[in-house]
This record gives sequence, C-alpha cells and structure tokens, in this order.
Amino acid sequence: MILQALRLVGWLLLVLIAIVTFVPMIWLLAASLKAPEDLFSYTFFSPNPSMKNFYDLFTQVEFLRYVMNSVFVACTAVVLQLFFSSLAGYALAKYEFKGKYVLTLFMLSTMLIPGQVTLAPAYELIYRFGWVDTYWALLVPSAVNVFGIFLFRQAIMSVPTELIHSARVDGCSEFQIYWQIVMPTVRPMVGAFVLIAFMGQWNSFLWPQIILHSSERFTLPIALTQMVGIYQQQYGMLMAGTLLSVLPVMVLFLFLQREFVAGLTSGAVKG
Amino acid sequence: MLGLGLASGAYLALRQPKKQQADLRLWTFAKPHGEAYMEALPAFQRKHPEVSVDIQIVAWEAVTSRLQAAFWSGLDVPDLVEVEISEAGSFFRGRLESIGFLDLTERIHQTGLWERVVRARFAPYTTRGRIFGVPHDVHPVMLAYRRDLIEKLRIDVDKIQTWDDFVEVGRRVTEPGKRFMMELPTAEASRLEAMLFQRDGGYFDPQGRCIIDNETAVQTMMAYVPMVAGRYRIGSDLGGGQIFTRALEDGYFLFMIAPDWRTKLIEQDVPKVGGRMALMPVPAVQPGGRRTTTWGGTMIGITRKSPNPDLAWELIMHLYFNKEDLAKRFRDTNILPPARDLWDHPAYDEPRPFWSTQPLGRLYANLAPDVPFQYTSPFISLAKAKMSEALIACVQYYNRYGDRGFEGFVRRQLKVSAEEVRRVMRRNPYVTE
Repeated sequence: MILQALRLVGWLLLVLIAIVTFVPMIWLLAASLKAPEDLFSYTFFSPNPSMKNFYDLFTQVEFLRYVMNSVFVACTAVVLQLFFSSLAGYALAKYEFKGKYVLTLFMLSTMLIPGQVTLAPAYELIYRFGWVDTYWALLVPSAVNVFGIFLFRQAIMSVPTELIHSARVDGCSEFQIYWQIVMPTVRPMVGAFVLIAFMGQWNSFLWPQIILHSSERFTLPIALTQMVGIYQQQYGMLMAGTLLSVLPVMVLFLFLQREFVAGLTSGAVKG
Repeated sequence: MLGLGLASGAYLALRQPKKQQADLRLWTFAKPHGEAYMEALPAFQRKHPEVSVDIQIVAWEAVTSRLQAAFWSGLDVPDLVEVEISEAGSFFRGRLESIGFLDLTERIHQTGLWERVVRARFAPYTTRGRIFGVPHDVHPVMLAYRRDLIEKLRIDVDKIQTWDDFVEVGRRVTEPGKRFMMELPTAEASRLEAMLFQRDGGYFDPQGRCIIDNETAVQTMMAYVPMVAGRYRIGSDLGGGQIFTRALEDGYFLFMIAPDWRTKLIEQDVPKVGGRMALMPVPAVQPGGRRTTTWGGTMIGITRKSPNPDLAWELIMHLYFNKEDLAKRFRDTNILPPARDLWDHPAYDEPRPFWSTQPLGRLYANLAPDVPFQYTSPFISLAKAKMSEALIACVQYYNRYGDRGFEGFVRRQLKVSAEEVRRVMRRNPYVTE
C-alpha cells in the first residue's frame, strides 16, 4: 500500500516536472498563434488564434530556403564529422604508433582554447581560400570534431581487440574492419553523436553569422535573428519560425532516443 | 542523414543565387534602414548608372564581430557600415591611422555638415579630435505617459518642471506593487545614463578621460537611486516584451523615458493604449534647465579599405540628407534625422492619433538642438558595465541603510568603478588619460 502511494507520488512529481518542462514550448506555440496586436497582451493563448504568422513566414521571407540551407549544412556536416571522428577515434583506440599519447593530449588540449580566440585567424584562412560566403567555410572546418574523436576513442576502446584480430585473420581489410565490425558494435555511440553533432550544427550561430553574407545562404538561426532589429521586431514570425526550427531536432531525438540513452550510459556500468 | 543532405543539396543546387560584385557595399543592422535605403537607391543609380550598390542587412549582434574580423584580417571589408552608438567606440582602439574607418573630419567641414547637423551628435563618433562617422539620428528624449490615467489622477504635467516636482507627484501617486510613477530599472544603467547626460555628465570627457566618479556622476546617482530604492521609491522595472506591455496596459507604469525610436516600439508593442498616450519634455534638473537628454544612436562610416571613398560619401549624402526620403522614413520609424534644415518638412508636424494627436515630430525637433554631448572611448563598454555594477551596489545599500552614509558610499563605489576602467585604459598605449 505504502509502496503504491510512493509510486503515485513519484508519478505525480514526474508529471509536474514534465508540465514545467513543456511550459516554454506551450508558450512558444501560443505566441506563434497570436495576432500582432495580441502578442504581448496574453500570457498564453489569445481568444483569437491566427495562422497569420506562419503564412507570413512562408510568404514574406524565404523560410523554406533557410530550412533547406540548414538541413544541407547540418546533415552534411554531421555525415563528415561522423566519418572522420570515428575513423580518428578508431585509430587512437586500436592502433599503436609513435607519438599516439602526445597526439591525443594535443588534440584534447585544443578543446581548452575558446572558439573566439581562433575567430580572426580562421576568418583570414577562409578568406584566403576564397570561401567567405560559401558553405565550404562551414563544412570543412567542422569536418573533424575533437570532442567526437575522443567520444569514439572511448567507445571503441571497449570493442574487444580479439574481435578485430579475428576479422583480420578472416581476411578483412583495415577499412572493412572499421566499417563492418567496429562501427556496428558502437552503434549506440553513433546515435548519440549524430544527435549531439546535429544539434550543434543546427543551432550554430556565431561562425555562420560571420561567414555567410548573402541572405539566400543564411541558415535558420541567422535568418531568425534578422527578424529582430533595433527599430522593428517581427516577434510573431520569429516565434513561428522558432517553433518550426525546433521540430527537426525533436523528431531526430524521437528517432534516436534509444541509441542516445544507450550511447550516454555505455560504460557507465562495468561488467 | 546522408539522404537528407543530398536532397537538400540538390534543392539548393537548382536554386543557385547569381554572384555579382557590387561597386559599393553597405552593411546595416537595422532592417527599416535597409529597406528605406533600397527604396532610395534607384534615385542614386539614376545619377550613377554605372555604379552597382549592394545593401546587406546584418544582424545587430553580428555587425561588430563580422566587422572586427574583417578589419583585423583586412579582408572582405564593406565600403560603408552603420554602427550602433554603444559599439562605435570599440572600433576606435589603437593608433588613429590603424582605425578601420576613414577619417571624415575634413569632408564633414567642407560639405557644411558640421553646421547642418546637431553638433552634439558628432561627439560619440569622434576620437582624439577626429570624426569617423556621420550621425544617422539625434534621439532626443521625452517622457511618454498614460494621458488617461494622469488626467484621472488630476496631475497637471505642465506643472512638472523639474525632477523634484516629478518625484513629489510620484510619491503621491505611487502604490508599490500596484502602480509606479515611472519605469526605471535598478540593475542596468540606461536610464541613469540618460539622466547623467542631461546633467552634462557622461562616461568620458572630450579628451577620453574616464569621469564616472566626478561630482556630476555622484549627484546623478544620488538623485536616481532614491527614485528606485527605499521606502519612497517611485520607479520600478519589470523587463521588456510581454511583461512591459501588460504593465503599460494595466497602468502599472504611468511614465517612461522615450527617445524618438522608442515611441515606435511602444506603438508596435502596445497598440491597445493608442490614443491614450502622450509625450512631455523631460523634467529639468534645475528650474529653466535642459528638458531633454539622449538615448541610443547610429553612425555610418566609410571603411579605410574602400576603393571608392568619394562615391561612398556621395551615397551617404544621398541616403542621410535627402529631405523627402527622410520624411517618409520618419513616418515609418519616428526617428528624427540629425540635420536641422530637414525638420521643416510637413511630416514632422503631422498629428499622431496614437499620441493623443500630438505632433510627435515637432515635439522632438523642438528639443533636438538641446541634446547633450556624449563622448566615447574604446573602453565605453567596460565603463557602462562598471556603472551598472555601481548602480546595483548603491541600490542594495540604499534599500538596507537609506540615506545614512549614502553619499560616502556612492562616492566610494563610483571611485572603485572608475579606477577599474582607468586601470584597463592604462594598458592601451595609444589611448591615454
């Protein structure tokens, strides 16, 4: 009886936390459905809901274009990051070579450098390559992710070396071992990494803001910021755009939630 | 993920934008500016058919970072840039010849702008006696108020001549938690700053010396803090956006500081109070004193890297000093242009229904010649941050101890803040006190 009561209290507590977590989303939905004159007058839903903000979003600005820009940049960057980070992580986890420890330390130490410090030299480099205002400037520098390399290194270290040796004995090439043996084994980490990398790219603001100059190349975060100026704010469209922009991340999380949780907890309990 | 990348890539490849290199590139952070300039461009291009102009709207937060990056690397620099007043000083670091903007001092004098424009507006874009920007605006300040409620409370705004009068009325009508005389923040210094400027104070003097601990600053802080702290406070702050709208609609605030640009925001964000709002001059510090101050601003500058500075200057003159265009722009933004000879256009005398049919433009234009000077420095952001810190400390002190020892505390606190700014300034060998 007491156990059931405790469970009920636990559930109620969870429901309460879920409601609190959802309040900003509900507020966002309500704000996106408000007419401009009601925008600030009602905390949540106004009595006259309107789809005008969504209509304006697709007719007054090139919202679909911005979505496609973001999808292209985020997806391509994630694929590149996944490939190169896992490849490097595999090398650091399973190959023995001279300077491996120093190299790992060096790579990890780069994570300590704030991004702002490298902003000016990175910009100059990109300019010299002629990549300002192109997607190359977003994709190439982000193709290798030290955090991802470290993540995969840790995950691949738990793959039995005997498995790799057996594959080698069976005639697998080194790339086949990586692709057909190692990667399926660390699938949960792949899911977790894809989600983390996608979120990072999807929400990335400062670097694209500096690099992209033409509005037709803007990614969603930059396009949405353009709606808030000093003298003119299009809050309704901003809310509608923000609501639509968080949907892909939510959908991706629903697809990958099992892998994400498994990826994050892998290694948490040692067998 | 790969499929999505390929599909979106194919979509974008089919809709490739045309690449073109313009003769003049202008960055602006304000969408209304950008839109107005696009409208004004055809007239400029009729005069210069061979010249192509590219106007890019860059988000406010990005202008500084993008421009700094471009200046540092000396690459991809636009010809003209609009910079917000609080960011302008950050570009004036280093030797005069290293500043990324072109020195416009001679051009401003030769073309007569020095006489036409409200002179105080050059000060924020001047360093070591050289002018690097043309002001876009004057931004005189008035007090916006809920006319209907003020009439109901039988307050005669014409009798409010000084801040002392204002505080006296405020103490009579303020009911903490229900109604405050004025919207005044306790944790950021924008309104304190406006009052400081009104008293001819500021963050820096014309020589770039930090003055946030001088007598004017002390007196301003001592006047401001009791308005927002302690038992007899008449001001409060709830933040912006939705909560500000509700506060204004519900009559939680009766008065608020309103530079010309803010009147447009109030019109947009609080349409329900339309016809029930009005404007009055800012109360003076002393009887007969200045009835306005200033808040905000924008400059346009020509970058040193621009290969066409003369053409860029012509574009500035076209965009910033075309009477008809500016009159239309005023109707859209409520922003008064900086040149006095432009204010005789009928647009500035039009009654505004939102503001109880007051002629908004004329009210601001009458006060504009009297806006105070504000001097800048590359260290302006730091000075503003330190002033906000001092304000917070003084408010906390006043809430706890009231008048007891308050003056000494204000002096010490401002001294500490100023010394902090001076300490950082001493590291810069090019800009010295």
